[in-house]
Amino acid sequence: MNLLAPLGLALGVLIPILILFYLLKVRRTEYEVSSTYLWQDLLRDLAAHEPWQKFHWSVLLALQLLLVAALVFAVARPFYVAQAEEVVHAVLVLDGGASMQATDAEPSRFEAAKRTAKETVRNLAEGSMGTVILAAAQPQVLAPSTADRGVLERAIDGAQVTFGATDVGQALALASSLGPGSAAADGARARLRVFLFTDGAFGAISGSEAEGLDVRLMQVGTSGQNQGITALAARADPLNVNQYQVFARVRNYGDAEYRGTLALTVDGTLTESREVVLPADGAEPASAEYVFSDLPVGARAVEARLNGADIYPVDNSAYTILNVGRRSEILLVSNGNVFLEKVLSLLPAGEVSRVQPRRYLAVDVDQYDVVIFDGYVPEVLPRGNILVVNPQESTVFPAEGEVRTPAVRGWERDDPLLRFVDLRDVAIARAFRLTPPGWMRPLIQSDAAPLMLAGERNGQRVVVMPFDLRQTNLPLLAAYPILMSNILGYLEPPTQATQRDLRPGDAVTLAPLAQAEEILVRQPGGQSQTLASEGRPIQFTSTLLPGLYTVFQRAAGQTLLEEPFAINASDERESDVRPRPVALGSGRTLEANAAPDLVPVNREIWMWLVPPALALLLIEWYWFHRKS
Amino acid sequence: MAEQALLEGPFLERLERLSLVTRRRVSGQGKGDRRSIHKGTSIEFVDYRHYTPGDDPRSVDWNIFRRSGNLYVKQFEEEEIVTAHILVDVSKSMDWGSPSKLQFASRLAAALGYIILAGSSKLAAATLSGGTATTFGPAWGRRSSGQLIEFLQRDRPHGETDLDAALDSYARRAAPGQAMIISDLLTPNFEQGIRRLLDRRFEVTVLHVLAPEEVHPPMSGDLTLIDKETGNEVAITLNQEALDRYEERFRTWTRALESFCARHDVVYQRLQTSERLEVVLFDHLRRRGVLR
Repeated sequence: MNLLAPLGLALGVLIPILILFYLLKVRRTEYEVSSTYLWQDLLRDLAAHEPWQKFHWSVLLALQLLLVAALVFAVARPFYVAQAEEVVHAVLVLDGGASMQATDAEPSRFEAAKRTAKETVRNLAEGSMGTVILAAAQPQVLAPSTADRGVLERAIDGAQVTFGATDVGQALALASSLGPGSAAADGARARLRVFLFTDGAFGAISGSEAEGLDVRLMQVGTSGQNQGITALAARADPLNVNQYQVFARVRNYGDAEYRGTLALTVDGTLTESREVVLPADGAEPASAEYVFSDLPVGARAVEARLNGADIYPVDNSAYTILNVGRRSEILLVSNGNVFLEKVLSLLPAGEVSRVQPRRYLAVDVDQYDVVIFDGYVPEVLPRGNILVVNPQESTVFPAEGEVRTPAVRGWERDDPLLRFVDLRDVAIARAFRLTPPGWMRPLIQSDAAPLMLAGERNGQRVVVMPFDLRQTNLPLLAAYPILMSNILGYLEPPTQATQRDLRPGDAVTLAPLAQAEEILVRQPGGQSQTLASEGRPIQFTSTLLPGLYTVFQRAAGQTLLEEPFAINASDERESDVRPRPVALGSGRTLEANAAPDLVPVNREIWMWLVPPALALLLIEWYWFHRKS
Repeated sequence: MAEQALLEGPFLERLERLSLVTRRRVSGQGKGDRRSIHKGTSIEFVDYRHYTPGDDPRSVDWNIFRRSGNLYVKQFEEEEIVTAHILVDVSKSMDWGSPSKLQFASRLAAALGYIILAGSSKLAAATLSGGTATTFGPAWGRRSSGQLIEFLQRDRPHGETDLDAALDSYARRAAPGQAMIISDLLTPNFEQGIRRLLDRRFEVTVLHVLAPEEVHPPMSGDLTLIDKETGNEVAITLNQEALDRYEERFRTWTRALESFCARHDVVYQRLQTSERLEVVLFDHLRRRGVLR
């Protein structure tokens, strides 16, 4: 036991002062006697025997002395040395990714992480600072640096889990931007320490983002028992353009065999269900694809649902919309290309017109939404969106010769244009070596030149495939119709019905009709939101819940147009909810839930003196009034 | 006061049966304890002594001179009427207690006065306060008892006790006799006054009047004792120990008074205001030989 402020003991002088006051303030009762003659002698007598004759212990005095002693002791700030966490600037990073909704922790991983985070805040050494960051698609600072634990705990309480993927790396980069340390509450420099509350179910973190960071991994989650629908897409039936097929992929990430059913609901009516049997997860998650044909005529909204109790219900449902919006006008400028013509007839695309290049200039090209140039590029591009296949020598897309048998090196799997497109087996005889303008991004890479480019300039979307479809095996692969469907989806003018791949939180463009007065959006939970229409496109962002949304365009109480759109939370990465070790690039793997480093700290005990002091005060008060 | 009641009824008749015992000093022979048998003006032949010039020739016993030729003078004792003095302390310290010591002392003085007047003795009285004595009398006869009571009631308690000065001034003015001092003696200054009375050939009786609360104080705790007489204050915490010490001090004080009185041939009787007057008169004072 030591004292931080031993000078405080100087207040001990209050004790004799109190006794002195006590002696001075004895409230004597006046009593008249006939004479003090005998008493005076007695006083001398008493004084001779006992110098403190006037001082008599009383309960009140004893209580007051104890009280003063306790206060003096408290002012001297007694402390003992204990092992505790050191003073740090704690950055609490909460993983808000969808996998944190897994229910293998009670009630969910995210809630368990919040509990642990609050406990961490409570256990911070006295004088520590804290910051709370929610790792989501973009990191959000929920509580800026503060020593107020109440603020930190409230920020943690208010954190919301998302339905999307998270970028933990960015959150760590944000944490490291707070500097190597910060001024602690007591003015000293406190080390920066990141507490990462996550299940580890996210992609790798690059070394630079967590460079030199002191990261403590507080891992939640124990299980990976999850099956999910990882893909759901619709396309026109190749045999009947008015019929649709729905393609679904189901995966099992658990270490047990999965037996269940995949049910398809079209426009609210259960139409089909399939038995699903997936073996236990091996090195690669077991997956199976299902194609549902013979959908009812006029079907619009499709929901696939996987039954079974797994720990991550988010990916047990997926949604898609059959493209039955306004048919767009497509112009194919070609001398004849069976692969293009065939795929355009199969896809549920718009009305296709064809013209030969030599007749091209005679066509009113600006009435077309999409123009496909095959083996020809005009000097002046039309205003609509453009697909250029096999561009010949042109000033618009200058080429530096040809590449023979370029080998596909890689492709942007996450780009909407290449979604579900597997290009591993593609072989190409020749391709133009294009010099891509700056506004175009290469999507398919070869060893020599990009094999597909896309970009947008002044609102005009352009896709270029610099090779002849007839000199490649691509049209023979399963990837071809999907790729073409994706390209047309990209190029056709957006209506909400054709906006694909909408994820929770994405903005949906609502295009009101000229005569619409209001737009009502019914959300998956059954709630509705009414927006006033002013004729201009509206960005609708209340899309946090995955599911089917319906947009009603109304005027004078009548519904003019009813169009659905779908928000999907399925994500291959988030569906893999198995807790994994977290590696911080540069080969550093974090140990989960490591015991905190303890350093000797001074623990003050003055606060323990307060309750007894108050109790003494109350007893003293009671005693005083009892005596009175 | 209830002195008036003393002189009424059966109590008065009982007082008639009491009388003051006088102790005579015989000149040149120290004190004597014989008393004249006859009261009034009778003369009693007592003894002879050799004639010395200046003696009254009429007192020479000529019969002896005839037989022996020596001159002897006959000694006679004249039955003088004894003057009894009742001296009451009326300082403020006496005005304390219930009944107050002064009430008690006044009733005692009135009763003694009545006994003296009824016994054909001469009575003088005085109230003592400060350093002065306010006198009454001398008076004779029962009829004077009313005046005595008036006198005793007239003087309200006042002043501080200075018995030395008051007794001294009284001794110088009054003819010697039997002096009965009624006081609480709560003062260090009375011995000198008593000695002065003795020097003036007074026979002195001290009737020491105290309240029971002065013998066994009933109070306790943190007190400021205020002197009724002087206003002096004494702060004291009275616990059992302090009370024991007081009683010890009290016993020492009364023993000192008794031994002083014994040494100077002064009759000393301690009285408490709680006692009944009949008990005081018919028991204590008779046993002390003050009354018979």
